[in-house]
Amino acid sequence: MSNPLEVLLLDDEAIVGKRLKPAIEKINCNVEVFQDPKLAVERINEKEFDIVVTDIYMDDMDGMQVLDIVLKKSSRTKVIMITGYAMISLARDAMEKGAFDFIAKPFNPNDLRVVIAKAAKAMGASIDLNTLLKKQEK
Amino acid sequence: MPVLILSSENKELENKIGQKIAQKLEYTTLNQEFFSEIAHKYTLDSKKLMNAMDITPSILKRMPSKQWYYYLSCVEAEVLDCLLEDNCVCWGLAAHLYVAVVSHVLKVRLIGGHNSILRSDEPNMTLDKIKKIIAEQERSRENWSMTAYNCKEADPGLYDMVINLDQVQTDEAVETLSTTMGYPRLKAMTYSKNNLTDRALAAKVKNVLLKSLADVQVEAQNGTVVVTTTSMKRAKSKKIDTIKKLAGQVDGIGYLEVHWNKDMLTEAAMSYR
Repeated sequence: MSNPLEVLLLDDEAIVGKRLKPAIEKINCNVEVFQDPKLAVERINEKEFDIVVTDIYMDDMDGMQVLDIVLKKSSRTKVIMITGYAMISLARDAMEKGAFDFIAKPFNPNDLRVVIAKAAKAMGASIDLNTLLKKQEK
Repeated sequence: MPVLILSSENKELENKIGQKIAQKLEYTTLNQEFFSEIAHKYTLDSKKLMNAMDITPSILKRMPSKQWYYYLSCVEAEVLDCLLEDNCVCWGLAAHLYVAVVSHVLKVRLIGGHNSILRSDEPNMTLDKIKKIIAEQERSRENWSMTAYNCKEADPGLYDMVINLDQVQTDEAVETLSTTMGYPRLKAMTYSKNNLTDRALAAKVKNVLLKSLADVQVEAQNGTVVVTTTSMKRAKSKKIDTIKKLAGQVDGIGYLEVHWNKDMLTEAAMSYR
């Protein structure tokens, strides 16, 4: 099995991290969860993550700023934006700035797993979702 | 990958530009030629189907309202299903009216370009005459689009871009649109794909319902389908049951909800009898 992907998950609502962390860990990812965008950015400056999943509307700093910071630090990192306030203009702006994908909340954890698998593929790694999830079920 | 939808009163230039862009980007095309396929699939009269895209319902024109809405729903369901495949240039199927908010779909209105008609049509035709004909066509299209989708086709607010073909050469328009299609902001993403999938699902459900029912609006979000309908109170249970039964035939529905509204007008009319 290939090395686990390093994933940073940022959402100011604790329930999101609590729910998504175990779902993403099931597909061979190490997940670090943050609620405070400033702490998340500090961590991003310390460590190069493979994937950053970030909420957009947060206090202090929004997800678009996080996207800029991540891509400035490492262009190979894939940034996945998640938001409960999805709009066509916001989605287009995120893609223009270099987001890998944009997902509207609410979503099924498996939707995020599928996008992470796509991001892994784009980075030259691979995640076999079906095999990994079957193994977890056993 | 993105989808380009063109809309214009100048069918000749619309077709020319659509074909050229599709060729340049190696995209598939979806245009009026698709009508015969749709007609075949739904066993409809192809000419009548094409006619429904031009006229508003009228008994005199042998196009009753119920039939007209059903024909439109056949086109909508099939076009949306094809647009799920991406990499497509689409025109002549009114898709700009029912693909409203999908971020990887670029909607473009082409205006002007009447000089091309002047060159290619009969010599007696003057630019003024052509402008009058076009204005008349625009009025008729506005009436059609308002009746069908409650929006004005020529409203620039419906589009991402408006190109004036009196000021921009055809080849320049092709070049501009081909370049724009490559912009990262038009890349397909989970959000936009889900949007389009929901619209396609709602269109399929609407199509199945309109075959035998009237007064149904359908919306879908994340696989949840909401049907809103109106009827007299005494027909409520029957109508809801029929909707559930018919919609249940459509694949891809996660959850189905039927919202019912009382048909106040008919109820009031009946109470006076």
